[in-house]
Amino acid sequence: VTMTVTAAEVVRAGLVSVDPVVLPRGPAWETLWADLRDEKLVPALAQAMHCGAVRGSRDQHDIARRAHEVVMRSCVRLERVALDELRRLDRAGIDARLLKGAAVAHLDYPDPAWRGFGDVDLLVRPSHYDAAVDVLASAGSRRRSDEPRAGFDRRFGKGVCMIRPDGVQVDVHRSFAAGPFGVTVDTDELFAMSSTFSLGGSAVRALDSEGRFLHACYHAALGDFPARLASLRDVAQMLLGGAIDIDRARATAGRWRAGVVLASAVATAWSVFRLPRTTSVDWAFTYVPDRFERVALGAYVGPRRSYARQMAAAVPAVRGWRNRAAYVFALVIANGDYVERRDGGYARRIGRAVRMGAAR
Amino acid sequence: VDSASRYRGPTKVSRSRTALWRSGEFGAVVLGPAGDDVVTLEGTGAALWDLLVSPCSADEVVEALVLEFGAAERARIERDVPPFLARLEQLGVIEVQP
Repeated sequence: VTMTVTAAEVVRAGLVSVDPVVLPRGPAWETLWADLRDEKLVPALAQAMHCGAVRGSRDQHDIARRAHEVVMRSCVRLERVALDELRRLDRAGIDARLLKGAAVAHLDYPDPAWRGFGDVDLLVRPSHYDAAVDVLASAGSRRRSDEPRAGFDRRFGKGVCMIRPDGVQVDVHRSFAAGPFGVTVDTDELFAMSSTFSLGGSAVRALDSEGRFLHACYHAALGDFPARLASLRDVAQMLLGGAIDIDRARATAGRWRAGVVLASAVATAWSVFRLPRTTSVDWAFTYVPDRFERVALGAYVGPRRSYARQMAAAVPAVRGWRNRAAYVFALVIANGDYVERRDGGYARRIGRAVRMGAAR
Repeated sequence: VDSASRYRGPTKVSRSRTALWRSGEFGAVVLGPAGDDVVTLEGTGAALWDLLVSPCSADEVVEALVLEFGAAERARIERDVPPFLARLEQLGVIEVQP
């Protein structure tokens, strides 16, 4: 009997065949349960319990069952929101892709009930980005954050979080990430990586298998530090599912100067979940990043990770001197309101930029 | 004519294509195309939802549920199934087959 069980071990039990994990009692259970909820892994626990890979008391089963129901009630509501917003965009002539949560749950897990999510993520072409934001805004959604200057997000950004009147967050994406690894994504190629699935009677477009895998890796490697277990679980689930053409995914990442993003996500997932090493993942452990990748990754991981560092690290990744000049100009001479909210004024902003430059 | 009477006889019903739903140890949660009234189905309700993955008549549903929950429950199941189907149709999560 394992006395201490971690959230990672619960996820692992749902991914690969292992001896059943027995849930601890008392304070150890309270800690584990808090971790599972914090890491948004209630569906992973439900999956592992359903398959018999995790065993617990009747009370623990009841707790997991009730929490799973709450998460799934939220997920179907979010899917309705996603369908409504996709329809709204379609009426405005805007083609969009459903990203992450709902798409991954339906396309990459044996049962969509084994993957939860908390918002709606949509991808649009850069040429439709401003119009898409306007369409959502005209229906009452408001931006959660401003852009430095008008048009910055459309040209260089990851996207924007729109908050609907009912409080649901709809993230409108242009790319996978902010900063250097977001700028190097070929958004035309990304948008062409398309597949369709049925949701609520509608044909919904999502990314294809490799596109979803790339996104999962970007999210796992760059989204939070340390990486969230739920994000790493997606990476492992997709690779273990066997539907990914890993050579195609790696070639795409190579063109986007993001081989290290895939390598980091896969190696971290395999290490954290102690998954068996096979030749299909060995490359991730031996990957040697180039200088650009090393510097860029440093803006996302480690104690010095910050949005400002990501913005600065993206400068050399912007293609063409005109675009690069526009990028730097937008960040340095940002809108007054933006600067006031972020830095408390231009003097502080410039001082911060100088300090950041000196630190490099 | 009460709304439940339309499910008697050979009329078949199934899950609506426009329904959004999830199943698990908790039963099933279902949401129709209009509104945001998510309903949780438990016990016989969840078992009925499982059956409606393919078109069934109310009689077929009753027989399957009696098989699963026992003959002692037949009277209750026969009484409850038609109004339950009516409620699900009202929510927009099932549809009557043409």
